[in-house]
Amino acid sequence: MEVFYTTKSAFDPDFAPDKNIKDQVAKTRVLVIGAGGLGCEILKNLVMNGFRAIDVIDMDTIELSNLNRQFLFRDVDIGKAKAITAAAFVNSRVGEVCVTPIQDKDKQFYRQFNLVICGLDSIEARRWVSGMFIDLVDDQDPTTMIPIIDGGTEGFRGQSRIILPSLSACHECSSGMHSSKKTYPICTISNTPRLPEHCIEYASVILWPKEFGEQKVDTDNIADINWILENAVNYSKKFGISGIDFSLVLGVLKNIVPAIASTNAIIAASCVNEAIKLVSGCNPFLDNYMLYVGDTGLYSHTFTLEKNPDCFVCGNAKASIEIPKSTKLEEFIEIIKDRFQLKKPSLRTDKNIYMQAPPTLELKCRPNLEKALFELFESGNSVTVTDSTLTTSILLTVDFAQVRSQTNP
Amino acid sequence: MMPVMKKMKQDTSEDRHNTISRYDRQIRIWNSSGQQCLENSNVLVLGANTISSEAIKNLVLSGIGSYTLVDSKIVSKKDIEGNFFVCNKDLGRPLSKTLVENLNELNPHVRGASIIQSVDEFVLKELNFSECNLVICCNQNTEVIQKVNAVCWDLSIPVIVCSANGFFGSMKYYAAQHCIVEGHIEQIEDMRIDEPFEELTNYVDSISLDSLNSIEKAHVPYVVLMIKKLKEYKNLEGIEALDSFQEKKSFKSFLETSTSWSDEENYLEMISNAIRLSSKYSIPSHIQSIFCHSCLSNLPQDFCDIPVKNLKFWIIVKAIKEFVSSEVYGNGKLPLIGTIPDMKADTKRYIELQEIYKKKAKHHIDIIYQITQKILADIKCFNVYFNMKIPREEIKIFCKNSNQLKVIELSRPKYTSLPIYRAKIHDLYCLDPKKLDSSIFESLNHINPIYNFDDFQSPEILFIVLEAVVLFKECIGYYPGQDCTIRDGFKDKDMLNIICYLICENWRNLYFSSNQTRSSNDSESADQNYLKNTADNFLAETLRSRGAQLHSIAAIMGGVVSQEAIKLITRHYVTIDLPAVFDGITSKFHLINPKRLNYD
Ligand SMILES: [Zn+2]
Repeated sequence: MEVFYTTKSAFDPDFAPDKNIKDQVAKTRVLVIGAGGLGCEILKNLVMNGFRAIDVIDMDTIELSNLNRQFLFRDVDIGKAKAITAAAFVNSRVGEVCVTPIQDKDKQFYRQFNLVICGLDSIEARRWVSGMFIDLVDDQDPTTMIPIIDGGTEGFRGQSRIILPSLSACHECSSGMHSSKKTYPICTISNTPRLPEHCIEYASVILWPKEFGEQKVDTDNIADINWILENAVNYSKKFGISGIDFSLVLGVLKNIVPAIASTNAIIAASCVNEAIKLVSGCNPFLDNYMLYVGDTGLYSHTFTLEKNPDCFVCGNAKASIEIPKSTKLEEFIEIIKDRFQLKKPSLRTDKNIYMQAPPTLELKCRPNLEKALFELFESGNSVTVTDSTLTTSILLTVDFAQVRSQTNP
Repeated sequence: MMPVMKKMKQDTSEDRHNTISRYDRQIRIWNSSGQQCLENSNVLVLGANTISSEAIKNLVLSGIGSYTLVDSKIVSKKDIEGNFFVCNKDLGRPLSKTLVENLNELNPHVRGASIIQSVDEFVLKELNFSECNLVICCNQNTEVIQKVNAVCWDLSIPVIVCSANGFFGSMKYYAAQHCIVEGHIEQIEDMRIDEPFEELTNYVDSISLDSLNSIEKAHVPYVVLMIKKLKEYKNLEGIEALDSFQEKKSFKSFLETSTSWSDEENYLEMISNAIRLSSKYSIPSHIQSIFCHSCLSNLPQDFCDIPVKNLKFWIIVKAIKEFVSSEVYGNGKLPLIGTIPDMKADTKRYIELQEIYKKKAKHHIDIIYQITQKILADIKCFNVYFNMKIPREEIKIFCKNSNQLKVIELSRPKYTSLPIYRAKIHDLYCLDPKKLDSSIFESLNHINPIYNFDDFQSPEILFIVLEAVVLFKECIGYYPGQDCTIRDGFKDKDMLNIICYLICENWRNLYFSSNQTRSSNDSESADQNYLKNTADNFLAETLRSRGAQLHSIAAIMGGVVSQEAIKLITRHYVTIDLPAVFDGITSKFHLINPKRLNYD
């Protein structure tokens, strides 16, 4: 590795070789977010490429189904915390403390890092990362811009990309490129189910709450899964739908994304390869997106993903929506939750439309949920949407859609 | 009360459940059939280094049956720096043995073994590879690869060859024939809308749209609507089928204008699928060429030309071909896939429609199963020892994928001129530096190059440089370095350039034709300069690394090696059929397509 720090690059004539780069790489404060399929590989690649000051954060514990790719864990580790186990394994292999497991800290804590590498599987977690590090940027102080290298995989496909917060496209600029959980309309699953998935959704969304009330399905409990399986099968028999089994139930309930060792290895190594180039400068780094497709032959595509000026994380945070004016506020909230991947959005115009907190205010707004939108504001009005998953609010312009003419014969 | 009830339903077959759980995330990709192939597989790996360790890691995690790693190297400081699977306390131990110990930890279901012997010696022995399904050679010289291929090609054992240098890596794969049933390629649904089969026609005719109220109408599956409309349109226009894109577009506008309730979801689905699904039925051309393959010509009398592991494939293909060409059965069409996508419909009609397709497909499977049994019996007539069985389940999988079968065939590497190159490189190595001038290049012109490209751009240049590095290392004994000299006045860089010149015809043009033969115009010489500059950069970057293995690049190459290995073993998904290079500076993979890859 050292040879690349002490010799000139033909591809980057501006690179100044320096024997101190090795030390600089070792001391670079790297935050690894996620110690799963990508995270394990990222940690290994970082230490093998000379990084020595790594923190890792992951709230999950180890499960059996992780072991087909998360190679820092063994059967005896099942149930232990991922971040702690991964750090301990890497440190013992290298013979020194290179990796420190951490819990989520306050914003100030994250300022110390020089680089963030993410191996995450959820849009929510990615959004948190984008938001946090865009928020840390102070335009007057370039050192506050902490680069993020992000990897993601699904089956034989994946991507690695570099995000320079506030300078280049963030996760949210391209949220249309990520697939989110597939949902089925309630009317389909209760009135015209056709697929085994519809029956599973019916069992978990309609039947389960009837039986168990507030209690949620525990997707890690085999008994819960079997209950859904049994009820989905019973429901499906009424319609002559077949093809429901344990594995499918698990897949639907957990929204399982297939994951394999080879793709994780390729994407994680690509992320760390970019990290070395970025930190040492010994060769030009990726600008800024690499798409990898391995299911038919071997294919990659690199391109510059442009910043979306209307991005609601790093841009002007404006959006608009067209919707029938008779839509109830309750339905409207569901629609925007789905569209912007929100958890518990609060809505304001010049008055409070619906506020999730504090409880007294929530109580006061609650009757609005039953009202139609036209009773609350006018077409073309802007609604300010805030949510715990957003760092800034979205200014949403709501236009009432023309009601379809019923006069046609 | 509830938790007690739940406890009673606990799964009892804990072990079975555990293996399924371990591999759950990948079985969702290559199914239990692929996982079973992995569990039965045995992989031989030549060369203990970072690429091979990374590749083995991924294969062990995926649950291959067993593997053997061959190398005689002793763990060095350098190995500890670059390989995660050895540490300080291993210094001085045999590398292959240490790696296998640490890699075996990753999965208790996999058996791994090491052979402490140098790869060069190992391949000199009488090689018995018949036990293994795949050979992987990492950072090996051309002599080793040549010897391995000489044995494996005839046994039809695929060989994956991989090497890395600095920020670059390359991978090649050799196999006479690889047959893929489950390619998982996205396909247009097989719904026979243009020529519905009898049962489907009857069903469509039984639904009279005029007798339905508007809610019922909105729940008729769009397939039914489109079959009706297409028939109506063809009658109206007096045509047999829609051939051109223009015709399909007209059909779409016919749909858009001919209905008064076109804002219903099922109608919208019909319109959005109009162009895709209204085409005249035809068997894809790649399937037609599989039907013409020479492997079919001697069945059932003789099958000695067919690799044993592909025999089943060709027998079933033959059965499908007979099905297609029979007027009573396929009548020019492949067996029906038998599944339909979800579409807006009421449950009753959707399930009825689904049943019609399913039933027809099942019927086709039955016929092809019978034809297959007949072929098997015929083969047995010619060969009494033949006792292959093909269960109906396999025919079912075949029929489901009959429009995406794939046969990948490569031509045999011959290596006949490799010794000439090695001898020539050795001559040059011994040459008096005073004689080193451009006449050297001319003296090489009578030797035929191995590689020639129609399109010679930066990926091809990188490929040639990496090939040249392997030959340099093999013939001269070390990896070429910047500012390093073979002798006073004879730089590694010059030697590497000469090797590129020796093996690649385009390289010869790059360095000589522009000022000799061609009276080049400006833009052409600008292109030439750009390519020459690119070549210089790749040479410089390769020399910079002096063979250094960057961990991240080794991990990427180990990743793609294991990926292709898994595709070869499981027979799921489509493997590469060309050499590939990875450029870690631009983060791009490239497939390389030389006109001649034969070492003639
Ligand atoms: Zn953004």
